[in-house]
Amino acid sequence: MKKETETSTDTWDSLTLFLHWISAIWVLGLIGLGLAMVNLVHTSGQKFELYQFHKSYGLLFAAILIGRLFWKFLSPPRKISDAGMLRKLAIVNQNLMLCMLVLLITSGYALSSFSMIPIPINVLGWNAPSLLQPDLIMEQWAKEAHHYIAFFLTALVLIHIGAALFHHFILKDQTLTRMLKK
Amino acid sequence: MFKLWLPIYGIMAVLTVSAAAGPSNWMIDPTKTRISFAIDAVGWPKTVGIFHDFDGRISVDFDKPQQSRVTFKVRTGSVDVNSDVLASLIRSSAFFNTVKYPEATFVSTGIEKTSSKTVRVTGNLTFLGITNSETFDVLVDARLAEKGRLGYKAMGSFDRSKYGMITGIPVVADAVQLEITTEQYEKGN
Repeated sequence: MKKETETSTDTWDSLTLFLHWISAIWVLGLIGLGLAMVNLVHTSGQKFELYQFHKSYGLLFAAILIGRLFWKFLSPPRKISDAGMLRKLAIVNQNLMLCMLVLLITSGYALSSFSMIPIPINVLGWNAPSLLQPDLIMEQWAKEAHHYIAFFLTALVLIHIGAALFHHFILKDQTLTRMLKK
Repeated sequence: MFKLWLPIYGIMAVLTVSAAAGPSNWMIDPTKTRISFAIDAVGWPKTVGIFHDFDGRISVDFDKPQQSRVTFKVRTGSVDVNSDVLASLIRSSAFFNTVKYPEATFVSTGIEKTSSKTVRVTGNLTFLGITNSETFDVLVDARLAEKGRLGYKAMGSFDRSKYGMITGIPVVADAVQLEITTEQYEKGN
């Protein structure tokens, strides 16, 4: 607030803010759940339940992500006052995160659908169709892809959070606060 | 061979005269019975489950152990794996298909004594509409025989593919380990 490196017209609309924060909560929740279900839970029944929960909320996130991508392209372009190197890097990071989210949902769905044990993904009571045939090799590939994409996404998210904090506490600009209020 | 059965035989002879004369009908105590299975899967903890709904009958002939009979009937829908979500998958047509095949049965066809405390029970296991001969090694615990009780621990494994249950093989193991502990008591005791 003390120092404005960007103009006050440089704001976000409500829908963008809503989609950003719901995604943030959802993605951090799914990453945490994914790490916990793989590494922390060692009884078959509980592990199974967490996997199904992860699959359901993962696929549900596809709806949010589709909405977000639509709005990203449909919403009126923002006036950007500062197009310096940091802004360019930020945009690269944001677009990479969106790409990784698309890949993560795709690989997660593929992993489930290629599975040797057909377990439908239940989304709010509706069973998503399994479009792929069970295939052990493809399941392993999808699993590896899902795993590495998730770690790459986590790294991008940490950079994103770190950058937001850097803007707020070091540069003392409105990058973070304008994400919190319109 | 007969000598090895002497401890049980002797105790039973003391308890009841009729028991030694022919097959005695003992009841299994459901509160002392646990029918459990375990199955492995790659990259997944062993899944262990029990069945809550079953009937069993063990008829012991102390004169002729080989004429003893064991029958068990398990309602497969009563499977419990500590997760309702996982149990519904196991009940589905991918595994137990409980709607079409609600019961699994085991009827012994032969019992041979393998040591003073162990017997080998062979019998027909009917599961998913298919019957195969399976063998279980049974540890007989006669420590409570004086109180009219006999304990058993049966262990064995079978390949589920022989019963047409092929879902998940080889990621989910073909071999299913079974462990049944039970205690029987004589009617009237």
